[in-house]
Amino acid sequence: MDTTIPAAASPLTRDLVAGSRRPAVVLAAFPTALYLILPEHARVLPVVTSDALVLPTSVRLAEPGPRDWGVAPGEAVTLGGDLVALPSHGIRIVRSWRPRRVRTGAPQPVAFDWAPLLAEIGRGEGLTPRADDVLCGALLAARALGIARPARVPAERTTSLSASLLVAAHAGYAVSAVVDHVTSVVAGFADSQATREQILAIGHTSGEALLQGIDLVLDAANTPLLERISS
Amino acid sequence: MTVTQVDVRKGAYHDSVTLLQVSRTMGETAGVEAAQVAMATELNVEVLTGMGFDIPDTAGPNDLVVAVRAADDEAVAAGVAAADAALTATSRAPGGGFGDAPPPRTTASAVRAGGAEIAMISVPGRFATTEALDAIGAGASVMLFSDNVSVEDEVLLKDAAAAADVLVMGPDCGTAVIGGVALGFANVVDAGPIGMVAASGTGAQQIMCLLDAAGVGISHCLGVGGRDLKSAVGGRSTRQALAALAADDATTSIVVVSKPPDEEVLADLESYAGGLGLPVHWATLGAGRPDLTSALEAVLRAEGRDVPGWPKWLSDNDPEPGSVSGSLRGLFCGGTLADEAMLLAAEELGDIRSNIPLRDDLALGSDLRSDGHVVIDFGDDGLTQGRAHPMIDPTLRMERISAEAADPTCGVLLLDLVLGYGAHQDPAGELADAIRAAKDTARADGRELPVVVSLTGTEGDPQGLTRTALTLAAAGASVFLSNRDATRHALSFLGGDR
Amino acid sequence: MNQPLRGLLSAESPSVATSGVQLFADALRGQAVEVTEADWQPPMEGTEADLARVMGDARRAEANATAYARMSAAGAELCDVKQAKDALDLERGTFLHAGPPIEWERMSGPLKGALIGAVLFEGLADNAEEAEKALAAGQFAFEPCHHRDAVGPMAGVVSPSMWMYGLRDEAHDAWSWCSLNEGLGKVLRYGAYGPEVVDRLHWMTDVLGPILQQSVRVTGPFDIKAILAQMLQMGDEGHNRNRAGSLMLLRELLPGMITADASSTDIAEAVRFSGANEHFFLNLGMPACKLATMAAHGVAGSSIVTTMARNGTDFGIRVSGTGDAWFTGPANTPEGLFLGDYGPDDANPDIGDSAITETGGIGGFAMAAAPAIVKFVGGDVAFALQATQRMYEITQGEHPMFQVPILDFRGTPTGIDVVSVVRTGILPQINTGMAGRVAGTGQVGAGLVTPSAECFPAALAALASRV
Repeated sequence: MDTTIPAAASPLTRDLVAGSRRPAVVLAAFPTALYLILPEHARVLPVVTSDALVLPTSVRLAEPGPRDWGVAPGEAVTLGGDLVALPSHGIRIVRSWRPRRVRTGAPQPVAFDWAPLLAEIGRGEGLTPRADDVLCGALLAARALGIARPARVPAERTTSLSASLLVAAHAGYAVSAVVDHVTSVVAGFADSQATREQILAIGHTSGEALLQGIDLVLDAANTPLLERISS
Repeated sequence: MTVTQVDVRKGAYHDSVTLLQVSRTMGETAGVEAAQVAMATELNVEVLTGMGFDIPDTAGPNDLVVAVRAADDEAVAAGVAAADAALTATSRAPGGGFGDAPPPRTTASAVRAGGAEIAMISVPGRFATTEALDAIGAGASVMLFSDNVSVEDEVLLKDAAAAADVLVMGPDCGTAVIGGVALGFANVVDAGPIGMVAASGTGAQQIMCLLDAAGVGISHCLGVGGRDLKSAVGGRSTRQALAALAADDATTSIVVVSKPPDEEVLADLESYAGGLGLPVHWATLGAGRPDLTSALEAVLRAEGRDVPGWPKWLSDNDPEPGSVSGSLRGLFCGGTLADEAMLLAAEELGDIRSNIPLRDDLALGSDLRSDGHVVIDFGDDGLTQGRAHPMIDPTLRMERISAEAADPTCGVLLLDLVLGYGAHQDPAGELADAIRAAKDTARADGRELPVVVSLTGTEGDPQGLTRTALTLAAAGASVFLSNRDATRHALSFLGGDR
Repeated sequence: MNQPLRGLLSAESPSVATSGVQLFADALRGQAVEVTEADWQPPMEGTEADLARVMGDARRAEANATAYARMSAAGAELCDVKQAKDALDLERGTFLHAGPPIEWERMSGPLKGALIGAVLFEGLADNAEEAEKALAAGQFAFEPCHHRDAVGPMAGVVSPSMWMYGLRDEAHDAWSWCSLNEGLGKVLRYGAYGPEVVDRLHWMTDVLGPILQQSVRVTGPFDIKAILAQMLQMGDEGHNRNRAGSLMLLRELLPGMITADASSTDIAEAVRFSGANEHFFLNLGMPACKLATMAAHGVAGSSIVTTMARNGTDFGIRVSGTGDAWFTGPANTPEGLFLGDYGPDDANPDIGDSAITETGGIGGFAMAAAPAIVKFVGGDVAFALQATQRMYEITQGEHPMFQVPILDFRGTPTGIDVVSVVRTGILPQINTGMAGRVAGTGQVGAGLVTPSAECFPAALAALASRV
C-alpha cells in the first residue's frame, strides 16, 4: 500500500474500523461514495468524499470527489486498526466527527400508530427503499416532538444500508439538513421552505419520502386532541 | 579564508517556519559554515549581525535576506543554490489544465472559497488586524495565532466579531479544539462533557492533559487570547465563548483557564457565568489563587470524579533534596507554565527575575541574564518577532540550556515540553541530548545539575506521552505531567544558601 | 433554534481557511479537515496604517455595496450621434485627450501626433510643423475626455468638429460620449497625422457622421449593454476583441443607414467602412462602461475605482470616494505581440481611455470569455482563464449581466477595490493595443499591461485622510 489518506470516523460506526482486522465486502462504489458491508446484518460503512451527501454513519474524507476507489462491488477489503485497507491505498481514521442529532422533546400525550409504517419496512426500490425513508422521517420528527416511538425497529427486513440509517434515525441521527429542518419546524419557525428544498435534493426520491414521514408525524401532533379521541 | 555573501531580495515573503527549514537545508550544504535565510525584521537583522553578517540598511521587514559564510566561492554558490531549490519546493506548483482557479490571496477570500466556519490566521502581527477584520466580515470565527497585535485592535476585532455573531480567539492564541478538530497547538484527547475557555494556550493544554490522565474528555476548547481577562479587553471573547458552550448539547460543565486576570473582569464574568445554568469552574492563576493542577483537582471533586495520582518519571541519580546550591533556572516555551512556575517558586524563593516578571522591577535586561532565580518564557512576543515559536524552533532555548550548564550559579534546571498537534514532531531526542550534555558539562565542573521537565502531553498525541517521558528520563531528567509537581520537585533540590 | 456563533459548536466537521504559516494547514489536513489555504503575501509596502484606517471605516462596506450596485445597474443605450461642439460644448481651439491631465512638454509621441492631426483637421494650421509650433506655444487648450463625461481610445483626441456617439443611462439620468472609430492602420488615435488620416477624418465628418446620426435618430435607441452581455458569450472581451459586438451593432444600425438621406455611393461607403472594422464596437463599449463607472462615482467612503486611464506618459485612476482627484504614476509599456517588423523598442507606454472597460468589469477582466484573444495578445488559454479568476480577488462583485460561459456563467469580476489591490498586490489586468513611440507611426502591436502600482497606495492614502 503506497499511501494512506486521513479521514474522520462517525462515532456511530467507529467500532467497525477500530479493533482487530476483519474482512468487509464492497456493496457499491460511486465517484463520491464507497459503501462497505460487514458480514453482520445492518452494519454498513459508507466512506464519502467532502462533496458527497454525508450520512451520519460515514467515514468522511477532507478532499472532494470524484475518486477512484480501486475496487468493484463484491470485492473484499479489510477493516480494522483504524484503517480501511483498499488494494491501492489506505484510509486512516485520525479523529471522529460529530454527526448532528435531533434533540428529544418534552414528552407529549400524542398516540401515533406506528404499525402501518413498520409493516412497510423494505418496500421500495434502491439501497434505501422509500418506505424506510418515510419511517426515518417519522422517527426523527417524533423524537423532536416527544412522541413515543417504537422500542425497536425491525431493520433486518430491509437492505443493510437502509437498516443502518433506520437504526441511526431511531437514535436521532440523520443528514444535517434533515436535523436542521426537523429542529426548525418543531421550534415553530414559519419559513421552512429553505430547509425543505435542501431535503428534496437528497437522493432521487429519498428527500421527498423523508419529508412525507416528517409531515405525517407533524400532522398527527397538530390534530386537536378531542377529534382524535372521538375517532 | 572564508567567503561571506549576503543577498537581499525585495518582496519575497515566506513564513518563518518555511525559512527555518530552508536555513537548515542551506546550512547542511558541504563547505557552508554559517547560513541564515530570514525576513529582515529588526530582530532577525540583530541575529544575523550577531552571526557576523553585514546586513545593508536598505533591507526592510518585507525583504528576504539570504546570508551565507562558507569555505570558498563554490560552497557559497552551492549553499545559495540549495536555498533557492528549497524555496522553490515550498511554493506551491500552479494548477494545470483550464479549470484550476488561482489560489485565494486573502483570508476572507479563502473563507468564501471554502465555505469555512473558521479562519486560522498566522500572518505577521502588523498585518493580522486587516486579515482578521475581513474574515469576520466574511462570516467566519477567527483563530488569531499572530502576536504583536495592539490591544486597541483586539477590542476593535472583538466588537466586530460580537456584532457578526462570530468569535475571535486571540490574538496570540495558540490552542483551540472545536468539535474534535485541533487548531494550532493542542493535544489528542477524547470527546467528553467538559467545555473549556482558554485565555492561555499552554494552560489549556496542561488542563486538557490532566483531564485526559483523569479519564475525562472535552467537548470544545475555545481560545480567547491571553489579554481577554484584562480590563482593557474586559472578557469580551470569554463572555461569547461561555454563552456558546452553555448552549452546546455536548457540554455539561465549563472550565475557564487563564493567566492572572484582572479582578473586576473576573468578578464580572463570574456573575455572568452564574446565570448560564451549568457549572463554570475557574482555573485562573494569580498570587493567592490555586495553581492549575490544584484548581483542576477541585473541579474533578466538584464533578464527583476521582483525582488520580499524576504521572511522573523520576530520575535515579538526582542529588539529595536541599543539597544543591545556586538558583532556579526555569526555561519555558509555554507562557502560562512559566507564570505558574514563578508563582509557586516565589512563595518559597522570593523574587524571581523574568522577561514576563510578576512585578515590573523584576524584569530581566535585554541579555536575559541574572545570577539569581530566573524564569524565561521563550514564547513571549518579545522573543518571537520574525521567528517561529520555540515549540517549533527550539534553537534559542537550546542555546540557553547549554549556557546555564556552564554557569555555576545555576542550581537546578526546570524545563517544559509540550506535545500534541502543531508541536515539534519528535522533540524528545533533541531535548534529551541537550539535557545529557548539560549534566555532563556541570559534572565536568564538579557539580551535579538536576534537570526537571514539565511534560504536557497525552498518550494519544503523535509523539506519545510515555515514550517521550522515558526518553527524557533516560537522559537523567525527572519528568512530571503536572507543572505544579515539576516545579515543586525542582524547588526541593535547592539548599540553604540559595 | 439559532445557535450562538452561527452554529460553530454544532458543526459536524468544521472547515478551516488558513493564512500564514503553512504548517498549520498541513496539521489540519493531517486531521482530515477541509482546509482552504490563502496564498497570503504582505500588502504593498508602507500601507499598513492606511489599510487599517480605511478597512476600519464603518461606511466602507455599505458604500462599496452601493457603488457596485449602481455600477452594475447602470444602463447604456445609444441614443444620439452629434458633433463634439454640440455634444460637449467643445469650443474651437480646445482639444480633449485620453488619460489624466498633462501638459504638452510631457506628452508622448502618439498623443502629440494626434493633436497635430486634430489641429490640421480643424484647419487651425496649414502644416504639421506649424501645428506643432502652435501647440508647443500654448495656443490651444487641452483637457481630459473624462472631465467632460467622454472617453477616447488610445490618444483619445477629440476636436469640436468630430462626431460623437451619445449613450444614455436612464437609471441614473446620465449621458456619456465617445468619438467614432477610424478603423485600423494609420489612424489619428495611434498618433498618425498624414494626409490620408486627415482626409478620412473629413470624410467621417461630412459623410459617416450624418448617416449614423440619421440611423440612430430614426431607428434607435439601441441597447449597448445588451450587446455587451451577448458578445461576451460569443468570444469577445469588449476591449481587444470586438468582432461579435461589431457585427451585432452593424445589424442594428444597417436599416437606418441604408434608408438615410444620402447618396447611394456614400451609404455604400459608410456601410463598407463600418463593416470592415472589427473594432467598430469598441467606441460604444467604452462609453457604456463610462456610464457604469460614472454611476458608481461619488459615494462617500467607497474604495471602488471609477476611472483607469492613460495618456501615454502617466497612468491615472480615480476612486468613488475621493472626488475628482487623479492618482497617477508612470504608464507601463504593454507586453505582447507586435505587428510586422515592430518590436518592444517601438512601443509607446500605455495610452488611452479604453481601460474604462476593465474598470467596468470587461476587457482583461473578461479574458476567460475570449480565449481566442491569446492569439492576439500573447499567453495561452489557461492564462486567459486564470487572469479573469485572479481578478475576483480585487473586485467587489460578479456582474449580473456580463457572464463567462466557461466559468459556468459566473459574472465577470466587477468593481475594482483599491483596498484589495493594495492588500494582495494584484494589479488590474488590462488588454490593450500598442501605439508606436514615434508620432505618426500608428499601431505597432497589442498585448497586456497593468496600471502603475503606485496609483493605488496613493488613492488609499487619500481615502484614509477622508475617514
